[in-house]
Amino acid sequence: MKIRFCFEKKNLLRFISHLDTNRTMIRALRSANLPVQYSLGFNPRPALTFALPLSLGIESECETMDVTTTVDIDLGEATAALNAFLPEDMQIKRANLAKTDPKHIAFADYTVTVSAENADISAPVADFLALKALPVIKKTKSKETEIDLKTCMEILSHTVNGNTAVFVVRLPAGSKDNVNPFLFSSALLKYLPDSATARICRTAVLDSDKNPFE
Amino acid sequence: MLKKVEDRLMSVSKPARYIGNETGSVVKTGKDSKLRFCFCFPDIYDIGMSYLGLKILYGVLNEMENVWCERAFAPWPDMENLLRENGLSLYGLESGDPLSGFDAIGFTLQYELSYTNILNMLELGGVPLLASRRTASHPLVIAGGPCVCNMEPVADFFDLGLLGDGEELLPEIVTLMQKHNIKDKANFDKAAFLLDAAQIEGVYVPSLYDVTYNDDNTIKSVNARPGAPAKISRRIIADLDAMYAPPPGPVPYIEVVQSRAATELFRGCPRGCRFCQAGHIYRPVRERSVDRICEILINECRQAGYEEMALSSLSSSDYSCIDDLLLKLSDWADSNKVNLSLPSLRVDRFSSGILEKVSGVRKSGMTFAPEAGSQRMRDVINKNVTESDFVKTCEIVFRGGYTGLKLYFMIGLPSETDEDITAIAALAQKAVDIYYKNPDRPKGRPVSVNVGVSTFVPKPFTPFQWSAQNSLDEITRKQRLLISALPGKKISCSYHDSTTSRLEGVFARGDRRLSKVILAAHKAGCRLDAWDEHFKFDRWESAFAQSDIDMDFYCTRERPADEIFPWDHMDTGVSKAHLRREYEKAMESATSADCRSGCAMCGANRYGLCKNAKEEVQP
Repeated sequence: MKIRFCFEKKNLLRFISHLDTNRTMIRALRSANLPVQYSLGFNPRPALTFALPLSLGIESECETMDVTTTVDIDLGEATAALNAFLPEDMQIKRANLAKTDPKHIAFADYTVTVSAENADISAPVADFLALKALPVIKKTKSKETEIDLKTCMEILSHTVNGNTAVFVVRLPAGSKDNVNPFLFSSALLKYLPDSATARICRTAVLDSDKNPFE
Repeated sequence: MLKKVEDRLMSVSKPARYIGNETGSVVKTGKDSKLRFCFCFPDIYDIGMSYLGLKILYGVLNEMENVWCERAFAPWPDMENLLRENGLSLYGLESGDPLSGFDAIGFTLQYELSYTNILNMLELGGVPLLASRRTASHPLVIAGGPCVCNMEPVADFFDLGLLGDGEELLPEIVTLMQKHNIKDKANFDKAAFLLDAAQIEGVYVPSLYDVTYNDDNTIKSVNARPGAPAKISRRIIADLDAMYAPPPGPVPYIEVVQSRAATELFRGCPRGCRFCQAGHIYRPVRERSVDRICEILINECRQAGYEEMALSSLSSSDYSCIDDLLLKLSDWADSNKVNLSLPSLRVDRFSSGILEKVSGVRKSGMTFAPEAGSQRMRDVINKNVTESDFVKTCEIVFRGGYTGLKLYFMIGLPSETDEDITAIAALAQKAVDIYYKNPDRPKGRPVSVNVGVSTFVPKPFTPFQWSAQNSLDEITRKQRLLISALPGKKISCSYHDSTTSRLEGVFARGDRRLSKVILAAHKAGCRLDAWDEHFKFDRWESAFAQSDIDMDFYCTRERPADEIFPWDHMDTGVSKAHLRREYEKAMESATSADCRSGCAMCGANRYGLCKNAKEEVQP
């Protein structure tokens, strides 16, 4: 049985890395005593798949972990057992049988909240939005390429309220073409006072038809 | 946590060190009414979270309804800079409150090179460094752990030290704080509290003792003030089965040095190796039962989801029921995909049965500590390991399919000659030869023998407490001699910087006058001294010069038999007379039997717990 658990990673837990998350989930599965399929080989480990690993420093409402069990189990009970182990800010929200293949993931939505200490940011935000092009450097392990964020991102909404602005952006995601939301937030922060900080939360993962990844 | 810290945390390495919130961490409500205790480990999170004692004391204190125990660790320099640059305070990981707001702070003194971290943490936490400068409104600062047996070098920074097992002692102290209404800062009488605390067995209040010195800088006398006991007796827990076993405690997110279920097989050690402080200050031997060990470890693995369990003790293969225990544990471990790890194996108590149980799947390497190369030297240190034990163990290991062997040795031991050094190389070569004599060795795979050499540091409460430590030049010469004696590529050698051992040696047998050196070194920016990349010996040298204190007085001086030591008013159980007898035997290369085969009347039986005691030794 291939189960897709959807969990959140909020507040201070944005500071634990993908590897830490993986380790924590393995411990949760072991402590919940679920009949998880182990990998073969010299050092058997629970075979887990995280569809779209989250960068350190980003929160999420919609992380997924695929787990294969050796026998069919009750999803509600499994969720409750895992949540008994997991910290408050990393709880499983729902579980279902995996539907979408992770290779169909094409987009992810993020809420980017920027705020500055005691400074109205509506003017610089307007300047930022008026830009025709937004060139950023995208780094991968092997190379650096310049891309124009304007051509690949979609700002779904934005609100400005004094010293705080909230953007909802949709960026390419997945194994083929992935854009890290930090590229957006750091481009934005360049227009804001030095005291400004950004917080990013992933809110949805979508396939190429913009249906939710489930 | 403060938003100011949170907003900047992405700029430091491994930010998860500073967020708490682990499964098993304890957050209590109504914090204003709780006695607030912060357990401080004077090294980084990765080290401190691997420490079993933290788990135990965190559990014990948080069991108490009106107490909330949190944790703090030394920050890595990037985090320290973040805190300092933004005027922020070091905080308890659970509440995010600054250390200065706690009622009491407890440091564990595990090794001498962590002393500057204590000062740095206090300073970052907004707590005055000197006990004499702290009033009733500041937190009490408490020391625990093995170095309390001679905490004189840090005496000025602590209000009290706890000598011995802390499982019962720490709750008693905390209860006494509550009795003295420590939370009522305006009326808390710190002096009265300290005098009351000093009456509890195992409590040392440094400020209640005055030290006088002779002209040659040795100690003339240590005088207890009225109301303080002349000697501080170590606290011990008699029954390890009845002893509190903690819940798994906070399960770290990041990979720390040791993240696994762990429990003690026994406390104390029957061996009496003459260089080993732990082997002397934790006597008598108290074993835990097989059933209790299994219960604790299995429970911890289940609750925390650990994939590894470790048996902890000073010499695991000396546990009287080791075969029975390994059989039971490995059955459970195998069916639950848990690895079993058994550190501290002795060369002379090794069997293919043990090897089978601990080997797991990956056969990389085994580690043993012959400690010295020649038989004479091993007799001097009372290691009681013969060359034929060594040969037998190597044969078992290599027949078991292993291709790697790590061997630990010490150099700079009392009475050591150059022949003893070259004998290390010869012993390592012997292991290589045994490998190639095995007809069933894996074909085409060369053996690798790693020789790890540490510098011997004489420690208080050992028979070598009178001995001179080798000078830096002498150690360097011996290291070179060893390297040049090592034949071929099959043997690699690793050794430590001898300057850290020198400093360790100064503080191990140091006295109160060293507090000012530590303070000066702290001010000069010394911290994380146990980390090669942060250790700055030149700054330490100037701190000593500035304080007009000579390191050689503490390190390289052979002490006369009748010298009063800075730690003589601490009583760990083993008598000074026994230690002196052992010292004299060492000088004649004579060995002593371990306690199971013959009681040496070391003094530890005053607790009436020794199984083979010859006679009751009067305290």
